[in-house]
Amino acid sequence: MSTLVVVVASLGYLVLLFGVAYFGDKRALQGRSITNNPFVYALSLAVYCTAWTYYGSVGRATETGLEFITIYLGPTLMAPLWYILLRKMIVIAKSQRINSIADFISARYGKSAFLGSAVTIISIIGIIPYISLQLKAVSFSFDILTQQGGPQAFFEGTSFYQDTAFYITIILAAFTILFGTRHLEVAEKHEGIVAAIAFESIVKLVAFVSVGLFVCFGVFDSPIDLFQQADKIEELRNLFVIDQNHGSQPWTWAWLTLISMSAILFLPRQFHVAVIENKHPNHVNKAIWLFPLYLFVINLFVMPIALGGMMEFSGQNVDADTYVLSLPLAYGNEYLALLVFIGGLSASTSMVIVATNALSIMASSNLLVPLLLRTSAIQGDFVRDVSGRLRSLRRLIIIVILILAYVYFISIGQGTSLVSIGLISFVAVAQFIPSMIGGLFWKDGNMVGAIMGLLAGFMIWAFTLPFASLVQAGIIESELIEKGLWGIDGLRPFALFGMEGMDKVSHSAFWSLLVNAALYVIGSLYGKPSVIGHTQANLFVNIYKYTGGQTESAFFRGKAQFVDIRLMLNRFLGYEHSNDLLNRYARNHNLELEKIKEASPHMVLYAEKLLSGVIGAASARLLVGSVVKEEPINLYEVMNILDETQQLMRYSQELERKSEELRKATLDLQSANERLKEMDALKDEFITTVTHELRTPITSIRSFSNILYDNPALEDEKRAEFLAIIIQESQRISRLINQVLDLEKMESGHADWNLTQLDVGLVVQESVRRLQSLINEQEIKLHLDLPNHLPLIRGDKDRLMQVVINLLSNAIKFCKPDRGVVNVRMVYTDEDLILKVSDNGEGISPEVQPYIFDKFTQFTDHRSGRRQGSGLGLSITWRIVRYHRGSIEVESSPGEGATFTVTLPLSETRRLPMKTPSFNRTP
Amino acid sequence: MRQKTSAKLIGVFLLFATLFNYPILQIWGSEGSLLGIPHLLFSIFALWLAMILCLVFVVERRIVKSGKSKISSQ
Repeated sequence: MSTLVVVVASLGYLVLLFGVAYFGDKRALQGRSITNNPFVYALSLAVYCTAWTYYGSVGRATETGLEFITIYLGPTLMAPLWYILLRKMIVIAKSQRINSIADFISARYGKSAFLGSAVTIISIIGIIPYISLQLKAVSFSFDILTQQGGPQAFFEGTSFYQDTAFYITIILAAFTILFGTRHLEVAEKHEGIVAAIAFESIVKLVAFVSVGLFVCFGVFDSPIDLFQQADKIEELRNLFVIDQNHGSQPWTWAWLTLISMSAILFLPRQFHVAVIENKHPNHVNKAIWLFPLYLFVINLFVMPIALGGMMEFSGQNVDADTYVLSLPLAYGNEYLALLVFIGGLSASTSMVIVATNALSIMASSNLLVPLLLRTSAIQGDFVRDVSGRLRSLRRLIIIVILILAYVYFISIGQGTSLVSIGLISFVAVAQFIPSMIGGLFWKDGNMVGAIMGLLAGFMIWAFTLPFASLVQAGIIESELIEKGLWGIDGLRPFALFGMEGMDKVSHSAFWSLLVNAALYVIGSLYGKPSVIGHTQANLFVNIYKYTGGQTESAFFRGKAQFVDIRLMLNRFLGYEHSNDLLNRYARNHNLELEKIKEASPHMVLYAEKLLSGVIGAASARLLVGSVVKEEPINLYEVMNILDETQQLMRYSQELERKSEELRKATLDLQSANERLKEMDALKDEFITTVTHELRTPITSIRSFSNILYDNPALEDEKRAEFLAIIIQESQRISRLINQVLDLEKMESGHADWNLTQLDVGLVVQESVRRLQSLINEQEIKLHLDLPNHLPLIRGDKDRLMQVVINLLSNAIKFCKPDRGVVNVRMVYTDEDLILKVSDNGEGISPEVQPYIFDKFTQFTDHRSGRRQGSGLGLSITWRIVRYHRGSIEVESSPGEGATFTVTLPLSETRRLPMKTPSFNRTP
Repeated sequence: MRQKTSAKLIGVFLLFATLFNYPILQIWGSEGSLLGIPHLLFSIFALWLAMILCLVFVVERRIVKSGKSKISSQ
């Protein structure tokens, strides 16, 4: 095909691409973004598939069979974890206005400028081979298509100006600059680029699938036919066998999967499209299955193309990396070949555009701006448009990176396959795993650990992969590979510490990551983070707690002149843009810009975030530091903040406790109220009862007195009988009144207690004696069971006798008539004296039992149906026993009689005061 | 809900990370073919597709559910 056609087609394609980008930008400006949906997001992630995938996979498949697929299985396996990892990274990046992975790491570890530049340097050195492989792919595909003899042609003595790759480099540089550096504020995103990348993802997929279909159905009859033919050749058959002798080593397989898992998140360009250009964290959800699906489809035809190419070109000197293009050409299908070339071009250009762009943002923010700020080149007093200068800086960086990639390509990239070049970059990027994953989930991971781990990992990588490949390519003359560094056997780059048998990539990944992770952990455990490092760690790890909050400003005490802030923003963001943003800020916070003299810490932070969108967190911090009189927050202030929080927590605890107390008090009050109501009802009942009790004897006294008064001539015998009744009834009244008074005294605490040492046995005997006549009258059998030597207790003899008499007379009263039996028994233990009085009467029904010691509870005599007694006896008894610190209980079931048990504790009664202080009737 | 989805997705990851690696990989790598396609190729792509379906099932069902609950809560 003529060179002119190819050039015109390529340029035409690039113009189309630019059109797509322009359209994307325009729509974004109109507020009708075409990139704000999960499908475009997933397609933009497919920038992962570069010339490596497009040409290189086939080449790799011819050598190691299905091993190439690990590079796509890794990201597929990573996809479900995006839900946790990527979403968190996006939320953090948005809240901190992060503009690259270097910025992310630097911001996480205390906005360290050193760490930012270290990550940048690692990224640039690591990615250059990767970019060079794109240059290689584009140039050889161009040469093949225009039949200039393949990639070997320019190897022999041609100058660079005759070299296709050189012109391709220039065109790509121009194109990237046109694309990437029109806007400055990265946080505002490059909608156009994303649209173009998504478009390119479709182009390369369509082109690759077309070749696949062509090979399966054009060259062969069907895929089955293809596999059957391949099965006849042993060399090809072995590509599909995994056992001891064939297939990739277990270690290689696992390591390739692991490093490609890290690549999909941490490659600077992947971080850029997945995190920085992300429009909404929820877009991740759909990408979780859409992106693996894309990878699935683009890999379907790799094996058929590889097998087809091997059978077609067996014995010929055709580089397997070119099969995708050579196959259609071999069958004279020039249009398909052109489509394939365009597809390959799109795979390469998308990678180059995004990668160089991401690297230039990184380098300008983390390397050049801090350098300029330090040398105070832009700290001058006069206003100057720094934003323009930054833009030129970025363009310069893009050119430098592409030139470096070109140099790498002509010096070492030519002899090696695409995939082996790319894997070098993957291992470099894998060095970010410990500090990124640790930074996201481990609050104690700190700057010391991150720096130690990254630098050590990077050095091991550099020694075992790129440096060793320079030696291998003969660029550095050395016996390093065989004899080791400084002749030390343990320092051979492919067998560090004598570990042999692993392939180069796994070997390098193993050692670098092991040392990296170990140092990260050790450094973090022993190093001390700065205050800002601490804050940032907390903000990153617990991002979901803080999103929407203003936590950062609590730890930031900087104040600045508003003029300075405005000037700074004008310089870096451009005059109009920055004024727009400031006006918006003022509107949102109800401020009048003209009246602001001093910018609040919150406003300073806002400015810092705006700046960090352009120049990165570390630089923004430096810059803001130059105008802000920041009183660095010291430990004392942190303690204060913590103290305040703690105090607040204490207050709320106190409040909780108080309200709990209040709740309890209310409950107590309620129950007290209930009791009062009950007692009130009881009182009413008592008055009725007492009145009734008083009225009965008074009525009889009055009627008998009347009879005596009206009949003076009454016979003596009758008169004596009536007088006896009157006396008896009067006694009953006075007894009742005495009891009421007694009870009242005890309740109010005014009772007199006459305490002496006494023998309760004697008290019982005396009580029995007093009731003897009653017992005889009722014909009751009394069993008295008293031990000989009872311990003395301290108590009031008269009152205790009252207790015994009450209990005994109750027992007598309720005994079975004629066959009454009353048992009185006393026992004692070391602690207690126990008196039991039981009868064989009707017993007390369970419903009444709980109330029998309450006042005015009267027993109904089943024989007479009348209520017996005043209802005060047991109540008084209970009070006397309680006074002696004892207890009284009743056991009874209806028909079985009742047993009253009085327990008097010996030790407690000894402690009773010898004499009550008031109303003492001293003997 | 979020926690549950995370757990399910981690589960999918662990399952397929095991299936796609040694020593289980060797089971798929035997000689012979299925429907005219070599064993290894067939099983890796079949597993790959199965994994994508699992992801669709977990992620999309979550979206459908949360969408429904939004409507019902309004």
